[in-house]
Amino acid sequence: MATEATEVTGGGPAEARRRSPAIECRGVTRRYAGVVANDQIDLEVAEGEIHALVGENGAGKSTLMKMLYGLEQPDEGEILVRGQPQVIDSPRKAIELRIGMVHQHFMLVDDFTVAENIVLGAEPSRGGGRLDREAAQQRVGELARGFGTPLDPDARVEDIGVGQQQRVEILKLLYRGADILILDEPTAVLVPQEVEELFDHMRQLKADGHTIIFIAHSLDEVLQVADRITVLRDGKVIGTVQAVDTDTHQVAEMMVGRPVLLRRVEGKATTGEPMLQVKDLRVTVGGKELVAGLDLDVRRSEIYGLAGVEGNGQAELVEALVGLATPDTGRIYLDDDELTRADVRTRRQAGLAYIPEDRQARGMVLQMLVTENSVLGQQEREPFSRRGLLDLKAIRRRAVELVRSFRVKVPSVAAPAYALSGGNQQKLVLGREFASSPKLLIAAHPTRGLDIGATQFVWQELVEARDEGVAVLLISSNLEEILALADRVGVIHDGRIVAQFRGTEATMSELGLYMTGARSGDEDVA
Amino acid sequence: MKVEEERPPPPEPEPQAEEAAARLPWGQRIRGWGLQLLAPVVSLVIAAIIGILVIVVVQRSWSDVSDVAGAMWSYGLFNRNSVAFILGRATPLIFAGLAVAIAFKAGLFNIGVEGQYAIGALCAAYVGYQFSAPTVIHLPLTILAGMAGGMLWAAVPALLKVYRGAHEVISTIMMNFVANAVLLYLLSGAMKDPNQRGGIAQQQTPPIKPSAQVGSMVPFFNKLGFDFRGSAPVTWFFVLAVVAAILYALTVRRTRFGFELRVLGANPRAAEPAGIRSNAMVMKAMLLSGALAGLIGLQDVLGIDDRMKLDYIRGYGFTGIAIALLGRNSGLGIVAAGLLFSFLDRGSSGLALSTDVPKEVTDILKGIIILTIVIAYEVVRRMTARRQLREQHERA
Repeated sequence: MATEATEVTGGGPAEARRRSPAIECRGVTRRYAGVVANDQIDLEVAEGEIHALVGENGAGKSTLMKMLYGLEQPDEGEILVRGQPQVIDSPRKAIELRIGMVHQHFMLVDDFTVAENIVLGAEPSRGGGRLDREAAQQRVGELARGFGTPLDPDARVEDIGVGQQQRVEILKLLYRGADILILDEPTAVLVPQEVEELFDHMRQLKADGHTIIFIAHSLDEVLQVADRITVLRDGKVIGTVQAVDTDTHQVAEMMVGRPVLLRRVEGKATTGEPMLQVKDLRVTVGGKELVAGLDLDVRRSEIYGLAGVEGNGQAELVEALVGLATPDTGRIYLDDDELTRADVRTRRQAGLAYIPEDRQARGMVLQMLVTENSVLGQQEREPFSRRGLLDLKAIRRRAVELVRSFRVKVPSVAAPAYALSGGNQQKLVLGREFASSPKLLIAAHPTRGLDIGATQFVWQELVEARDEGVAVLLISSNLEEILALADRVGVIHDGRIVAQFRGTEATMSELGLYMTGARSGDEDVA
Repeated sequence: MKVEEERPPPPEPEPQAEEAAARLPWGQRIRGWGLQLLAPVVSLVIAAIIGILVIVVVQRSWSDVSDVAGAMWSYGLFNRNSVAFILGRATPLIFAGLAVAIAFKAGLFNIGVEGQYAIGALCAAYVGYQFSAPTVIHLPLTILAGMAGGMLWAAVPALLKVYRGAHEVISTIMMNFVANAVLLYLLSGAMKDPNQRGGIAQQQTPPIKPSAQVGSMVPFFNKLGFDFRGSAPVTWFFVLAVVAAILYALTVRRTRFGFELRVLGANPRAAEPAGIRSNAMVMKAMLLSGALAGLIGLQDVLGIDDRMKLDYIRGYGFTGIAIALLGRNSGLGIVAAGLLFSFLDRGSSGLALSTDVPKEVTDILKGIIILTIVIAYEVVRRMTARRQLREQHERA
């Protein structure tokens, strides 16, 4: 399973302190409706270490953590906590085992004070169900001091910053006696200074004997704070390495897989004039400028691959391009039309097709029929509707066509969309957008969640669309996919395109350097 | 812990074109309809059982149960005027159900139907008594005025929602209070009938001109062989209500507008990327809801009382919520639910006449029906979801 070259056995700085690891997974497997999320995972987290878990989206990190925290149960394999096999069937059980988890989205009550939030669920009481406020404040004060952090126990959670809220979450776990802490992408919500503070806290917790497992995307951060790093890919453990023995290159390569796995899908690409042009686009969300002066053009008969670590402005860029978000400044042109301020319908009429990242939530209506979902977004087009009246026969024909050519497995086109499995729902959305004969196709992570066969099929469709003259903007955090398809590759980092390559000239390690911010500065070889 | 059998991954499924193209097989379709009917039927049965228990507790006698059932049945359906009464009484309830349902379809909860119909009726009454014109002009104008009044009252919460994000539940409730106050103010002031003779002047409008009155359906029914009293309260508005229900059903199923309405109601997050202009749809849905609400009171004002009176607020708007729920927001279902509630009303009059069971028992019955229907739908929904999930797993 794990590659011999990168496996480190018997490692961990805490080895001397105690024999049995804090957490040990043996052959843990978890399947969802036919998809293997975790495949024979072997993982060992030593007591008193900071253990990072990295991998692409969908690699199985969250599933694994959910099983450690009792939110999911393994189908096979066993989990040992401090050497004892345990069945963690609920978060309550996890807490009993002194395992705590800080979720990406905080679970705090905004109206309550810091102290109230920390004791919530395990309040010191004075009998008769009354809260012993002083005792609560005192306990929290002690905890915060021991943690070396200034935190006002009487402040209301909604009034304090995100970094402090995160500290409240961590204190909550300490208050319940947890000494194995799971942090799910703790840096995603923080600004750089807060990240530094968080790392200081993590080091201190480690010094106090706590064990920390944390999920992260930024490899620089991981190397900074972790003792050991375990890489997951496609639900499997690729290997565990000592942070001191490795670098971003090695970890990135482990994450995305070896270049030898790639098979470029060749078509008859004859790149034409620009179809989509984006000039100096800026999008601010919640006070953060997430797209920061981005320039981009995608040409007719071209697949432009946008590579980047998630959270660098891709989602916001797509929203601005589709018309779901309003840019602060900048211009967007499709063919000859300026669409900067146009709404979605106008853009769709101008020739935009859009495969949303979250296809179940934004790409379809589960309660409605397969037929109806087959024309969603194209409902105002002939022949599906004429003068405001739906042509149910034409809609049914389209649905049957899609089901046939995209091999969507359905009980019947007259069945509701929720009767389809996840993969088939995806295919329906993909097929519908391909079939809208667009000028520009924006595909956000089009193969996420698909198996290898379906992925290959979608790749083929993307190439065919390109060969027919469509401009394709492919957003993907999967570098294999970008390198397999893109005629040009742009790397997005901190809301800007920091480098562009010709598809055939880009290499995975070079892209990785730009993606993780290890190398910056504009480079344009395309 | 169960260990799943290791199975090789299934081969890429070849869809059978025929099967996909065909409609659902008949067996499945009938099963689907059965499931749709299951919830209302189950809830009616449960409501009846609880109703019986209530009667037993109130009257301390089992024989009263059969008396009540007999009285409701024979008086409710077979009294000389019962059919006319049921159809007439169902008319405003059908309009009310439709008004609530079209907002529901867009994911909006219009609790303001009550106020919207009051204002609509007020507008219609004004046009009805104030102006004179030949019937072909005057009556349609009066009806349009009613719809316009309802739309006006619905437009306020709609605008507040679109431009200020105010939740429609709160703003429509508030608008109900305002409507009530406006009604009181105008009926005891500017719109009060000045030509009342003797006694204490009633707070009511002048009579509607004959050219704006809508005809009774009694002569028509009596030609068909019925024997209704001339005063039986059924007018041609009943036909309008049925037509409205048909148009509603066609709009929801067969038009692009209805399609977009349903997408917005079922998954607003998918509506946006599909190019559906959510704000415009919210406006349209609320205005249509208000227009339908404006029709609710017109039978009473233009056909039965022939004027607007202070006792006018009769709770049709709130009942409409129950009708829409019971009728599953479908045109046919709403007509059926309207008729059922109307029958219960009629039956309760029979209780007062031939038993000593308080007629409030039927109100209890109606309340229980509404409660059980909500629960039964949820139960059936979960059953269906589970079944679907199971089938999906079997396929996977």
